Amino acid sequence: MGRLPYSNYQRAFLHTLFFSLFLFVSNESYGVEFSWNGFGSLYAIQPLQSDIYLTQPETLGHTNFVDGSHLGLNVASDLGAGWSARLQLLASGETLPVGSRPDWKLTADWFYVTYNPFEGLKLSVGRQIFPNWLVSEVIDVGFLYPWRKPPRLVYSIAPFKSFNGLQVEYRHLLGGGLSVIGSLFGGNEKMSATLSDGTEVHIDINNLVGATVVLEGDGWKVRGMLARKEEQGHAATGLFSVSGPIGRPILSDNSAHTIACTLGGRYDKNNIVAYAEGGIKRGSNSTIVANTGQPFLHSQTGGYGSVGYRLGKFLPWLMYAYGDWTLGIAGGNGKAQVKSVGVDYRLADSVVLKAQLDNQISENDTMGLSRTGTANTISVGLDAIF
Amino acid sequence: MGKAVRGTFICAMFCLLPQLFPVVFAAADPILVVANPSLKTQLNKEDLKEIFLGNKTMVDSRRVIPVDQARTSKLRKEFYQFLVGKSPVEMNVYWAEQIFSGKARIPSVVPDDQAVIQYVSSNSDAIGYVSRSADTKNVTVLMLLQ
Repeated sequence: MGRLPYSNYQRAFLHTLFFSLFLFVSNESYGVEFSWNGFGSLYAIQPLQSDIYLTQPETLGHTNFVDGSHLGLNVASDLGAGWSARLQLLASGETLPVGSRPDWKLTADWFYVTYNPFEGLKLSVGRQIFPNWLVSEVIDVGFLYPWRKPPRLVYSIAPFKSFNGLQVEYRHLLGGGLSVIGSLFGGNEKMSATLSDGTEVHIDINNLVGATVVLEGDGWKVRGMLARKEEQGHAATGLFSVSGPIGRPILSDNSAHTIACTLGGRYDKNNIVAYAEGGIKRGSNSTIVANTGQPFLHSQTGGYGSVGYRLGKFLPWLMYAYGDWTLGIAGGNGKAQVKSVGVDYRLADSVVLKAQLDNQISENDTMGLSRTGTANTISVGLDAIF
Repeated sequence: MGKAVRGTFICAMFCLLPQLFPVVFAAADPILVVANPSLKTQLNKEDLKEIFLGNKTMVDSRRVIPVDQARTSKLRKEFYQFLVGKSPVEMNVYWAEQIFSGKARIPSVVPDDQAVIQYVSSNSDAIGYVSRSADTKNVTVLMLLQ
């Protein structure tokens, strides 16, 4: 049975309606106060050649409005006695194979409760952001970084952005505007991935544990992260060529794991806006996908550097990103680099207009990050907060 | 002729400097930092900065709640420029990052000096800033920023 076109609009509307009703009742009946903030992005992405690739909507061969556009709502509430709650909803375009109708989905990226027993210490429980990168915490708020999106080649090292679990964070003010923030986190997540043959794979991420350290001063920040997670995959649609029937685990060993490490810094001062980040992920080689001889988990490295200079309301910038990976499920290796140039124009205090040109060169790609060869795209759009 | 051109150029640069560097040349009036009379504490500029940046929520084991003036207020602009060295646009970006990363909540905003005094005098944890001409008889002046 085919899916109804744009069916998720109805679902998104109903969820929003129920959520608004919940807030209204909480406010009216219990006097709980909420603060609301929103963000949104609207983009048009045009490939500069007709070649296509299945899983990258930018290169579908026609103008795409879905991939870069979304609308988010952040709701925070102070519950008293050191407790607070936070929710972030995101309505965004869904990445679908060629030929599918574009649709929208509504997700709760965050939904957690925080306890602040004393100055600097926070304990958070619930669904929260996976703090893999510099921009992870604001990854959908395009207003806060120069580019349309953080570089996919690098950020795909962490293929999910939220997890369900616990996080403990401690911030210590060092004086002179310096502070150091350390955090420990742990939890689980479920995610889906669509392979290039259209097979949908569900992956359970278990026993995720990690730590971050951030040092920040006036206009700059340096951070590092180390995390370990276990993964198990299942074919969800069709016959997964290397696994067998639908839903059957494709692993013969549940102890498959990856270790990821990231390091990055940002400088935003004296009109200079610079970012540099790198990451490395290594999968365990002991786990072999049934019948293939391939390791299940892939290894990946990537990095990028970006520099811009503010000229009044304009921010012209340049970025270089690269990625290098080996893929376990479908086999094969890949390597790609992206050179981007863009300019941002601050239309108002809370609105930025952006234009960006990307040139991506890929070798032997089997991961769906881009087509093999050269792909050029131009994108124009708006990022706003409200 | 050359000297005249150079003299004109130097005069023009002197006239333009206040436009190029308004903060340095601004004749800023003193700003009073006020708190509820029950909040008896000594604050330094660094403490105040961390409070108004949302990084410090406790002073002497007691909660403090900063209150801001309207976004378009000249006093607010001067306050943050003096305290943090950031323009209103930069503060807007700073707060957006704090809010959307879940780190801090933006301070409550009231329209003017009178509203700050009213808010601070009726809220035992509140701390705010007003211009020197404000009537401060119902609040405690913690600091004079000049």
